[in-house]
Amino acid sequence: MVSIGTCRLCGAGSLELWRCGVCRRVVALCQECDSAWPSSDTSLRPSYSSEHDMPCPGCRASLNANGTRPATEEEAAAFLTRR
Amino acid sequence: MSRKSQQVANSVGPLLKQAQKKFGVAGLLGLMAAALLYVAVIQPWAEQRLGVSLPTLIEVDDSPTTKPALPEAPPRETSKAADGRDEGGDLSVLTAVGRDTYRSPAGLRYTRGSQHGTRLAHLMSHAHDDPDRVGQHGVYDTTDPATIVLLVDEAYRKALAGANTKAEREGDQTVYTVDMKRRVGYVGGQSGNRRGRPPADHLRLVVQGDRLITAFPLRP
Repeated sequence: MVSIGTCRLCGAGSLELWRCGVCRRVVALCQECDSAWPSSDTSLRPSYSSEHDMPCPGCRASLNANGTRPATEEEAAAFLTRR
Repeated sequence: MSRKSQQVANSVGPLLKQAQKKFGVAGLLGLMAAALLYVAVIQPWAEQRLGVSLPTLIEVDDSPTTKPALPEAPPRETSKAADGRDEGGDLSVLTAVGRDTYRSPAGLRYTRGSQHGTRLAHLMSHAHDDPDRVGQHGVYDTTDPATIVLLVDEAYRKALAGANTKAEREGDQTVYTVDMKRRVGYVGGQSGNRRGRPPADHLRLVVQGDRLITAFPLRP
């Protein structure tokens, strides 16, 4: 699992990179508070978990859906160059 | 025929025969209509509107077949310790308010969600250290789910009152850092273990309104 640091919101969760199973975008997801960013610029406002779901910040589909998987090293590298 | 129907038939049968002898068929029909009106309309209306409990025409003892409905059983959270043993815990402090949704005594809602499936399961991930976790991982001193829920409630009440609390709001989420003024856990994870598991006397709560996202001990 590729981590790009600690969540600035909860101050504890690791920001892990996942690839959305629907839009195939790589997103940064806090494993503690479930805040999610569509790019490596985490100063932007994230998307938050809803009542029963973790929506993708790119397409709003559920990150719990089938097909969502940890990002590969190559996908992570591409994500980090995307602003 | 059910036990209840049999009891009704046994009680009403002799009465109907006597009434027919005394009042004739028309009188019997009138009595039956009056009884029906009493049972179906007057008695329920008096109870609902006036709060008056009128006597029933026929007492039926149905205790063997109907029992008062028990409240929905509270969740019994089971977590696995690091060494694999099961730890059951009584979570009767929580009230079920929907599917996989519970409310704590202080009013925090524990819903579905998180990578653990439910917020409660996620909260309980802080009952044990995760030494391989990158960064720090706040760990409670207890593994008892009810004790943890009540500790989080205590912090939530302090946060709402603004007592020894720092609050940060962004978007839908609020992050409270509450000074509990006593040790509540320690800092684990890779970072905490490198530092010898320092004690934690603060609790960080992340909420969306009254919905708990996460809560864990920390040392700010």
